[in-house]
Amino acid sequence: MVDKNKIFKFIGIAILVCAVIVFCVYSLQKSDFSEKTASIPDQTLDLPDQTSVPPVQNSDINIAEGPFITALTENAVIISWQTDVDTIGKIEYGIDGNYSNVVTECEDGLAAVNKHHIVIINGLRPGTTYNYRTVCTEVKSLEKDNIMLGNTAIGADYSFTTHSTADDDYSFCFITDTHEYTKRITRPLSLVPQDYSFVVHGGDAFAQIQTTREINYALIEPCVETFAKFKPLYFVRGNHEYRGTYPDKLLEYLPTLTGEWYYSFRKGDSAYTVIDTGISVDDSDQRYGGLIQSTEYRHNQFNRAKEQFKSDEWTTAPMRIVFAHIPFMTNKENTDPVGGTQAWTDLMNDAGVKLVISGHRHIYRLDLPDEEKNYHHLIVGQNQIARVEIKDKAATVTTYEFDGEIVETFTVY
Amino acid sequence: MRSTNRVLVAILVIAATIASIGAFSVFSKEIQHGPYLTEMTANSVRITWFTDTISTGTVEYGLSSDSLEHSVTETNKGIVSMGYRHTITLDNLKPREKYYYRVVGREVKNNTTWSPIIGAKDSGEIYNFTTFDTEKNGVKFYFLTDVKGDTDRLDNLLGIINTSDCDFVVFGGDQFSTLETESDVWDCLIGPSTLHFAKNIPFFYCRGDDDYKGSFARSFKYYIPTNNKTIRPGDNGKYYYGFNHGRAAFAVLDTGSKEPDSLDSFKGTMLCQPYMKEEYTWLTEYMASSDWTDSSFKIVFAHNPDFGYSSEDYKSLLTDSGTDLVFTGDQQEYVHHTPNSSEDYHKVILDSDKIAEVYIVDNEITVTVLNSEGVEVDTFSIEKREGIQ
Repeated sequence: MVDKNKIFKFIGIAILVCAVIVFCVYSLQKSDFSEKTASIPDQTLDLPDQTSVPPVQNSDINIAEGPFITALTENAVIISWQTDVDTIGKIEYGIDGNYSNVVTECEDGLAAVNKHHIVIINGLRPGTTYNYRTVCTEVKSLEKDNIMLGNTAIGADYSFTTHSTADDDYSFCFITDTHEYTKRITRPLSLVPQDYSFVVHGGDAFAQIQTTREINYALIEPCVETFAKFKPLYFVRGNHEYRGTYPDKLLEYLPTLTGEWYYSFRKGDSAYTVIDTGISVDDSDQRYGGLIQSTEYRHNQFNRAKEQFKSDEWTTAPMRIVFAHIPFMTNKENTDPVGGTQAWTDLMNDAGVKLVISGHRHIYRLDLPDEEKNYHHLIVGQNQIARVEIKDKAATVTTYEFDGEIVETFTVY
Repeated sequence: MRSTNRVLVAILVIAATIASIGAFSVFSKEIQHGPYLTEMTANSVRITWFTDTISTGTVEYGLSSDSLEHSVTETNKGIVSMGYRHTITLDNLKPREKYYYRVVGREVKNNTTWSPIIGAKDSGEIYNFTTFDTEKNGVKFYFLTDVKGDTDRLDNLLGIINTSDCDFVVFGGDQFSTLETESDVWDCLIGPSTLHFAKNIPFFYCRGDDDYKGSFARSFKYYIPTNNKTIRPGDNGKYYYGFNHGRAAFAVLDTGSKEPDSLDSFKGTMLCQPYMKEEYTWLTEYMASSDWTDSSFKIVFAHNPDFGYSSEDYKSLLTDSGTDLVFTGDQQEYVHHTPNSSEDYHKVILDSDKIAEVYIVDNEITVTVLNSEGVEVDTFSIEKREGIQ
């Protein structure tokens, strides 16, 4: 015998479950980024959109994303790109149009076989323009004694120029808090003079990272389209880059030479340090579901910065600039003696920092040096771009609105 | 009325499906593989396990099984790691101390900001391990090699191990008949090791030439990650490294692929020669370090008895750096080479049907070779070299 009450109860529960699901789907659709999914995606790399496919010769392999330049220094660079099938990836590079050098992506004595490629090139000459191209060979089988390769695709010609101590007149651009609105990347970068040497993204390129596809859509594609095949992106991790199911995948897309989110580089008269200011609340904040444990990471970073600020690369530079997502002066409640706000302020005063550039607040603000700090602290707004010109050992910063109107210009000596 | 029924039935079917999926995921948060121990030192150990749902991983541990008062959660650059694999190195341990531990985790169903869906804490059983100690007199380990997918024989050989006084186990490489899928790694290495000893006793794996071949060769290291890492995001460390236990130093080598990189059938997928140069540079540094030079006994594990491409370089480096004993495999017959002028160390070539039990005590290393029935085949002793502390 079937109990009628039970059936009704079950139907009731079923309706409730359906209602919850409908509500979930509805609320997801309401969110501004329509490609988001509620389910946890596969561990495998999502196939990215193939909106911009550069010319490829002799092959049906598509370079789905990139190439993308990060981590450029005087002697090294990292080039990453993605293919739509598993391939062995190489970068061929040289000077004056030749491609006599080759670096094959490898791991532990084997050619790496991936869709996502990361090639680190060392031993470059400072201040030199290198032409480079991707070379990908499709891998159809890696079975023992039955290795089968497909076509080889040679990518288009691009170039990059290594930094040099002699660079005494150049500019770079800083954008921030683009939050998945890709025009915040492409449009401001079209407003400024096109001779900038590199771009710094001040963090919060995302709301949260739920799929790897989102990383391509919201950051990689607009950067590649605008500059990143020729000029490096230096990314500053924001608090939103701690959110979502796959935040720890992001570094694979923005590889650094330290393997960390904090790093430094030097170009001419200016030394740069990028730091990760973590999340804006306690690790225990419920938004993060107890999935943040950042204390040790922040301490490691602070201790590394202390060492970095003693190095020749830093101390011999007349101009010293720090990029940090969360502006220190708006985050005074962090009193950690290692890596808290006061600790950083003291450290940066001691290290002779001249300029700190932040985002996070979405609104422009400039704090001049005062009794607490010896440096200018600039916050760039969400729909703005700061163009920083390094010349005669000084930094002249001009910030533009989304429509090209100048907000303010100031010079730091 | 009929249409209402249909709607109800449809709702019922959908709900039942959803409910069953839900029920499945709630009751399937289980440890699928492990935990198993690797990379033990006097102060640390790595614990690895796999779950069948995406979850966080934590090891709770302490000096008594009643109070696991310490805990370490796997994190990556400030974020708690979420995934199927969990691998945690416990640091700051005391030498030769018995620690109790268990692995715990929470399933992460979704980590959307504001509404993360995180399951309840799920705990494994309590196991224990004893850390290494460079002061310990009386170290015992076992070496076996070239299992080549013969799991019955592996079971017999691992059954010979006396787990009551075994400090560690070393696999000499070529563990698989094929390395084509993940199940090869479970069936021939992780499963049997965990069953026989690896929850309590660490193992070390010495990469063989066959471990370079097959569709899964590039993924193998994911299961036995090491701390010898590069800057590459997601890197799982090198196959080669050194460690110390008792008054002995050990080097685990990767002797590479046997054929040259240029072999036609590799089609350019083998890039072993430059990699071996990197290893050689590392080995030179390691054998000049006090970890090696200050040890009373010096033991090397290498799959290929001829050490691969740079055979002569390796032989002279091992000779010059005072190596006492080398364990290798890769061949059909058991051979014990005694020291000679070009290779001034004992070299054991073990075949796949044998296991070597090694005991280092006082001024002596004693090697006993047993076959898979547990019958002693050979035994010999090596005296500590003159002039060594």
